[in-house]
Amino acid sequence: MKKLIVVAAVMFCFTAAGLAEEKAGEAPAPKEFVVYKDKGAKENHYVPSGWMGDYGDLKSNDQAVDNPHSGTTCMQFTYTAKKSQGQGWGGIYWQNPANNWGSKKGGFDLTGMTKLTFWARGAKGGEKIQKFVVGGIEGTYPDSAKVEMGPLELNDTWKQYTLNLVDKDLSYINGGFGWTITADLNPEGCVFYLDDIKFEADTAMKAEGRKQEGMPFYIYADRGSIANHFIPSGWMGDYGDLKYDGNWKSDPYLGDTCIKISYSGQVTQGARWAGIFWQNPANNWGTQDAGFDLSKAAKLTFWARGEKGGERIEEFKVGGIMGEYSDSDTASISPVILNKEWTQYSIDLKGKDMSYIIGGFAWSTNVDVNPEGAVFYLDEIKFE
Amino acid sequence: MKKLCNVILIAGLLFTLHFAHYTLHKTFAQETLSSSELIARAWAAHGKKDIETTFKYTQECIELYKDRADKEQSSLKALPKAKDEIEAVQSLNDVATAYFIQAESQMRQQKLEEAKRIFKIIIDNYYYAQAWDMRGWYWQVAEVSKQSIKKIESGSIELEQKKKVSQLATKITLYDPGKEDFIDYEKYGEFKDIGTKDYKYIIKDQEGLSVAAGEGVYPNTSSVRLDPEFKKAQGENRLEGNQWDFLHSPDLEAAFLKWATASEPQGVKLYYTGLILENAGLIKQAIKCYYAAVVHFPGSYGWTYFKTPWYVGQAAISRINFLLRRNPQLGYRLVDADIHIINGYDFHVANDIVVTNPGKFVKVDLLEKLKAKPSPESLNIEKRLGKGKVHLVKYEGAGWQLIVDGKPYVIKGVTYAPTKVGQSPDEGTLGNWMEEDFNNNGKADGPYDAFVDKNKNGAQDADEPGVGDFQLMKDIGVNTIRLYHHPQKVKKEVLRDMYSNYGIRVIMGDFLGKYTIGSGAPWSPGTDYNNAEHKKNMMESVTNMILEFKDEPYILFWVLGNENVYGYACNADKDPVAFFKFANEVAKHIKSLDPEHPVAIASGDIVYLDVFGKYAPDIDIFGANAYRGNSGFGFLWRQVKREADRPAFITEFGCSAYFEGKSLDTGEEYQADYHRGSWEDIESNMAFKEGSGNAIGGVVFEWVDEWWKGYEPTIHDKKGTWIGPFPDGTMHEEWLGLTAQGDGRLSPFLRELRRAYYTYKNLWG
Repeated sequence: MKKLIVVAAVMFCFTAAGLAEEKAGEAPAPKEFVVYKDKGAKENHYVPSGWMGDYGDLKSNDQAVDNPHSGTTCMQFTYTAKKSQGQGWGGIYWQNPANNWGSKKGGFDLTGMTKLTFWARGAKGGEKIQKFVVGGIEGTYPDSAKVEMGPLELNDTWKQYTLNLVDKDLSYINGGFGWTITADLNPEGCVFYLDDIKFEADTAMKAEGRKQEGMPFYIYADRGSIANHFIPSGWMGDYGDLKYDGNWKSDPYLGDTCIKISYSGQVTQGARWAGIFWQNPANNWGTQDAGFDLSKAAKLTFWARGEKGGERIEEFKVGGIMGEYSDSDTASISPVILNKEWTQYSIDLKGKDMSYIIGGFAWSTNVDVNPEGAVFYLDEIKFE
Repeated sequence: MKKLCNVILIAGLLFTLHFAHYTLHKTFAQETLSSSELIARAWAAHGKKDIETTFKYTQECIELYKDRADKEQSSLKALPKAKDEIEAVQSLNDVATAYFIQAESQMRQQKLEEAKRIFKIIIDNYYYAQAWDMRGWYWQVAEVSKQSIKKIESGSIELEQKKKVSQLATKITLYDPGKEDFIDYEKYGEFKDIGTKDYKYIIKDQEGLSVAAGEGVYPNTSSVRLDPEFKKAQGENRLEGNQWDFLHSPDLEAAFLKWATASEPQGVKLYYTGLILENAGLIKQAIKCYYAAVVHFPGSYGWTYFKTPWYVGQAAISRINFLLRRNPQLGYRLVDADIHIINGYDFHVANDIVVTNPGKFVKVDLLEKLKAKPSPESLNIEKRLGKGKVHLVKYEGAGWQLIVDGKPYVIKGVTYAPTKVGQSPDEGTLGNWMEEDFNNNGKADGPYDAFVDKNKNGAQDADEPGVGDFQLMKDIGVNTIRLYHHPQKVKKEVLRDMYSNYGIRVIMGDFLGKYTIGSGAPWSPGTDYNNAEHKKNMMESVTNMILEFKDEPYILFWVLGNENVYGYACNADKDPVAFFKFANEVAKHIKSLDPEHPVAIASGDIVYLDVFGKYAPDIDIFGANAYRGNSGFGFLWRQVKREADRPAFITEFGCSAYFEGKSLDTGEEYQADYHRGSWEDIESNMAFKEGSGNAIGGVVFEWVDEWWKGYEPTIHDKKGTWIGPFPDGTMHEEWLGLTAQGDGRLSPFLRELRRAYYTYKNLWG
């Protein structure tokens, strides 16, 4: 063991084993663990091999010399938003070893690290990154933690960002770093740069309490708005009867777009009802610990109108997802008969426990009250 | 419930005759028959044990419709639920049924391997097929096929039903029962447009209302999540499963927590949360739940097993009234609460308009009871229907009474069908209780020789003499039986004796084309109330009944139909106007032949009640088969008053004495409670009482258990046949009797008197 430590000290580089051994040995714990410093830097770990979603829309240059944050190179990423694979999103994971989606043992033991920092800038400014992430790769050998931040909007100058890892189980991290981007957020595509990505053992770092979100807290402002939260991923009942268009440009209530929802009432799955839950993250039915603290919200408001007027929505709802991680409360209005003109509706949240919300918004209706189906529009959905 | 079985002695005979007659006339026609028609004929042949004809029709059905059935099966992703969805795959339903009949026939011939092979065809290929049973429910052909295979392999028909949710017996301890027992809603919001379709309650102080309401009561959705029992139950995995499976779980705590956090429409959620609280004895919190549904979600609805809308707000008001009646110590009554659903009598909800008055709780004034009450002598007669020895009068402000020989008459009725164990119309073996004399003593067995097995030892001991059902009925105050369709083989002397010596009269009926009986129509599409020939045949059938029985002393009045409004081999569901117009014509015709007796209709609950009110002014009495739970019949009385202003009675109501998972004794207790609640509701709606004043009685279904209804006539089958508001949520058709037949060995003589028998002895005797 001592020999190994000596070798590690001499080589001044870490391996997963080395990191673990040092923790157990007498040598001081490492202060940092680099993901990317410069092209070819000996300190670099992980490989940006995990291309996801519309991988055809992505280009990567790991030796961009265009104004690196430090050293001689930075990483440049280009996203075309052409939806080459029809996904509407793309992203890259830094993995160890390359292309390891949890099928083989790899990763690093990063115990002792308290944060991941990186520098980022956009080519023009205003580029919107859906998420930056540490960990979260599943499979036979899953990562021991997953920490995310985003969405966030880049400046045209370098800025440092930090993911708080205090109290996270970092004993096995295969997906050292990653980001995702969507066509919704960047319809014209974008170019952005990353540099100096590293884990740090910063003892001054404090555990991140679940912060109370400020108000207003949008679910939908406009297509691609950075302010949007929650994903309309929870399609329920006769999901085959539903069409969702979050980019409807005709007669939005405010801004450039609104949401158009078409419910055919064809009873495709035999349920006779249908609905959509806006979740965080997508498809979270209480299986992931990812609720927002919306304690400051006194109400949820939204604007709605029916294509013809008279469409009946059985329920508009906040919260109510029950699972391993359940929403802390629920509130609803029902039924709502829509007008042809935009009308604002409000769900009163006073007295409700909004401290943990996975299901930000939902609606449901059925074929019994809409025998011919229903087409309706939503806009400006937000907590206030 | 729609019971062809209630035809009593004529059920099997008449039905078989009908098809035999029809087949004879059509033999020479070479037209292609519909799949439903082929199935109807196949069942008739199977009933007569005519194997050759059974296979002829079933094979024809398979050959003609199999391709279409296969396509229909592959087009489905789930079991069709709504009636029109089920009927849309009729080829599938009929082809599966054709295989089923073949398999049953093979089983009957002891060709068991062949029977199993055919049952497996259904299970493997036609698992979304459903068939309508004339007893009154849809059954899944593949599921019953599984039972049949089980029977072949093990001799038992009981499929193991693994409980899907927690069965730990618990009580509910509320973490937050709320600050007010009877909430003063005015304090927390504003009622707007009471008594109109625009009614709404606008909450102004949600926090205050939540504090007043407490756990599980809208809008308080927080307390239940803070309830320590919630975390505990979650940790113990007791909340896993579907909320509907919790409704009859003994784990009341888990059921409450599950429903209080369920993703169901708010009104439905409140109703069932209330029901669970009620079952746990938390009456005040239950009332709060029910009333929250009325105040906040008055137009909320669900669906019954028979695909008719179920209006939560109305049910909630009825439940509150029931609880306040049963718990006078609470000292409150709910006044003026009413939810009227305009267009609420059809099969749709999209056209509903909800007019709401939530009413309010007021403290009971003890002095009210001391006030003098009106009597028939003190009030004027406002209206009279009929002038004969049986007629109806309406007292000004007090309601309707049936008058028989000059005296008020409350119908204390029972359906009498003492079918011997082992007999079944499915097998053409149903006997005639008026004639059967298995002990050869010259007297009908059930009516005169039935004995009470007091010690339930399955034998007739020395101190258990034959007393007969007529005497046993008389002992508890039964004064009426209902015959669903005028019998062709009747021993009038038995009925005369029943009347003269036991004081029991007869409501005599004609099916009026239901199941094509009396109309001469083919099974598919069935009786058409616009068809001149069908109408002529039905009129003739009714005329025969009147002429045959009108002078019999035991006749109380005539009743037309039996749930025709649900359809099934008649088009009353699709053209209710034509049906009620025709029924009205028939009523007028009856009165021209017999002015001495009124005419009633036997409808299916309140389906198309508004059409009845509009198009059948000559039908004197509205009758309905209704199975609505232990609190009675809800809004039925006030709805009849509103839509038709006619006297009303319940032509069928009842509850099984079997409660899955509980002892037979407990099952009897629940059955008795159901009957007590039903009769108390009927009574409270009679003239001069606090309700609608138009109830004139009811007919209990039924006197004694019939063992053929679950398909195996020699087995006292416990399986549930349809879902409804019963103690364990299921109808167990073979356990409906006020009396039982023991182990069946001494059928049709042995009677075990259930608790419900004594309940009626107290109520009627």
